[in-house]
Amino acid sequence: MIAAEERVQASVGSLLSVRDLSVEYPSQAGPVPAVRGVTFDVAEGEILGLAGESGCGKSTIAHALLRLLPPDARVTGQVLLNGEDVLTMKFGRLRAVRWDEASIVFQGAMHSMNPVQRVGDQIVEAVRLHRPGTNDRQGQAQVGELLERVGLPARRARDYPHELSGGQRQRAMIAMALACDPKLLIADEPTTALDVMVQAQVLSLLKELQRELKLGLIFITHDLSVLVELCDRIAVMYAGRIVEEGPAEAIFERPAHPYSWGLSGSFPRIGDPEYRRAPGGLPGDPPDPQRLPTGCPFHPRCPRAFEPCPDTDPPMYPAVHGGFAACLLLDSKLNPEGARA
Amino acid sequence: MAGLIILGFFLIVALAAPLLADSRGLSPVGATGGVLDPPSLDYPMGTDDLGRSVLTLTIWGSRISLMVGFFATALSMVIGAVIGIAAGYYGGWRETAMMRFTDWFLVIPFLPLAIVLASILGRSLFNIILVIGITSWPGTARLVRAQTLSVKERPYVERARALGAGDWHLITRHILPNVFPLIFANTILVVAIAILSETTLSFLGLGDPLRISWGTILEFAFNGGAASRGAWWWLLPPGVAIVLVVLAFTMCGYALDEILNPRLRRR
Repeated sequence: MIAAEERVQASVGSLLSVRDLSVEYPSQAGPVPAVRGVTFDVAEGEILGLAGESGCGKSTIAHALLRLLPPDARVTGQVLLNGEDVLTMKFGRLRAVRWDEASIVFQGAMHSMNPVQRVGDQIVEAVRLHRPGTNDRQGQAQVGELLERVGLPARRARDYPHELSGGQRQRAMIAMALACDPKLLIADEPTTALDVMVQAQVLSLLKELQRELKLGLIFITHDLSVLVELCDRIAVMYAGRIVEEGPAEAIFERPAHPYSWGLSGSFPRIGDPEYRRAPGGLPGDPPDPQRLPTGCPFHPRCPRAFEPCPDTDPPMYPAVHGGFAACLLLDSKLNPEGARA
Repeated sequence: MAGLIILGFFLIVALAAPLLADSRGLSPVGATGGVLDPPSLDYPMGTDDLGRSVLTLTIWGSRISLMVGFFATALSMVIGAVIGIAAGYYGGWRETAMMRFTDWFLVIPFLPLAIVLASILGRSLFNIILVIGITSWPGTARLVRAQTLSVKERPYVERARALGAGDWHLITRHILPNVFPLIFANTILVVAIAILSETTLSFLGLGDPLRISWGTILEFAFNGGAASRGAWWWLLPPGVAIVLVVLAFTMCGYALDEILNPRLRRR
C-alpha cells in the first residue's frame, strides 16, 4: 500500500492524472462495475499504453476521460486534466475542454464520420466549434495543412467519407483529432479494423506526430505487441482494474503479473516451431463484472494461484521491472520464496 | 414516372390558371353559360347551376387544393419533425411527455377533431391549412423520433459530442441531415392526405366560402342536386382531378420511399 501512495505523490504536475476512477453502469440486475478504482498519470510527451481483453474497461476509461459516457453511468474519482477535474467541471467549460485540450481518435473510423458531409467540413467542424471566428478560407487552409500532416493530399477534403479507404479515413480522423492542437490524444483502438500493413502505417504516423507535437498519448488496444513498439509505459487492465504498470519493454519481456504472462504469451513468435505446437494464451473467459470472483479477480484463471488468492484482493506491489503489479506472488510475507521476475 | 407526369400536369395547370381560364368565370355574376348546360364546344365540361363553366372552376380549384395541400403539409412536417427530433434526442421524461401528447393526437379521430377545430376557428383558407396541419403531424413525429433514436446512437454523433458540440449543433448538423430523407419521403405521402382532407372539409361546408377548391365544387354540386338532375359533368371533373392528384402523390411517395429506403428495394 505504501507503493500506491508513492504513486499518488509522484504525479503532481502531470498532463493528465486519473485518481481512483470508478464507473458503474446501471442494469436490471443492479449496478455493473466496469472500471474499479483506476489510478494513472500521463506526462506531457509521454505514451501510455492501456492493454487488456475486451470488456476489461479500457474503452469505458477513454470515454470517462472526456465525460462521454451515457448520462446514467455512475462515475466517481478524479480526472485531472491540466489540474482541472473533468468530472466536476461545468458543462460549458467541459465543451471548451473537449477537443481543445484532449481529443479522441475513435475505434471505428468507418462510422465516426457523418456519411452525408464532406471530410473537410467535418474537420473544420472541430475548429469552428472552438474558434467561432474562423472564416471559410482560414478553415480550408487549416484542413489542407492537417490532411497533409497525416499524409493525405489536401484535395481529399472535398471527398465524402465513403470515397476514402479505411486507412485514409483513420488518417482523416487523426487529422481531425489534431485540429485544435490538443496536448493529450486518446487513441481508442485506432487500428483494430485495419489490415496489418495499414495498421503499421497508422502507428508510425501516430508516433511521428506524437514526437513532433510533444503530445501526451493514451493508446488503448488489446494488442500488447503494438504497445511495446509504441509506448513508454504500459498499464495492463483486468476486470476493471489496472493489474500491472511499468516500462513498456520490461512488461513485455519480464511481466510480473500472471495475467500479463498470458497476454504476452498469446502472441505468436514468427518462425518458432515450438510455438506452433503449443500456443500460449489464457484459458477461460474474462469474468462477468457483475459476479466478480472473490479475492484476486484473476485467481480462477491463474496458473500460479495459491492459498491466499481467493480471499485477498491484492494491492499494488513494486515489481522487479521498476513498475507495479497487483499480485500476491510479489508479497514477501505470503510468498517468501520471492517473486518470480 | 407516371405519377410525376400527372403531378407536373396539375402543377402547370394551377400555375397557369390565369392564362387558361378567365377568373371572372368564377363569380356567379360573371357567369355566361346557361343553367346546367351539358358539355359543349363553348363549355367543354358543361356549366353548373349558376351558369359557370365547370372547366374554369376546376382549373382555379386546383390552385386552392394544391396550395392547401402544400402549406398544410409543410406545417405538419415542421411540427412533426420538431417534436420527433426533440423527443428522440432528449429522451427521458421529455420524450415520454411529448410522445403521449402525440399519441393523444393520433387516437383522436381526425374528422371530428378537424370539424370541431374548423367550426371554432371560422371558415378561412388559413384556418383550413392550420386545421389540417395540426391534425396530421403525429405520424410524422413517431417516424422521425424512431429515426432520431437510431441516428443519435451512431458513432459520428458521439464523435461530434467529443468535439465539444452542443445540442443545437448536433441536432442541426448531424441528426437533421440524416433524418431529412425520411421526412421528405413522408412529406409527399402527407400532401396526398392533406389534399383529401381539404376536399373533405370543403365538401362538408367548412372550407373558405370565398375561394373555390375541388372540394367546394363538389359541395356545390351535391347541394345543387347534380346527381339527381343527371349533371355528371359537374361532379366528374373535380372528382377525377382529386383522384388523379392523390394517386400521383402516392405513387411518387412510394417511389421515393423505395429510393431512400434501401430495405424496400428489389422486393
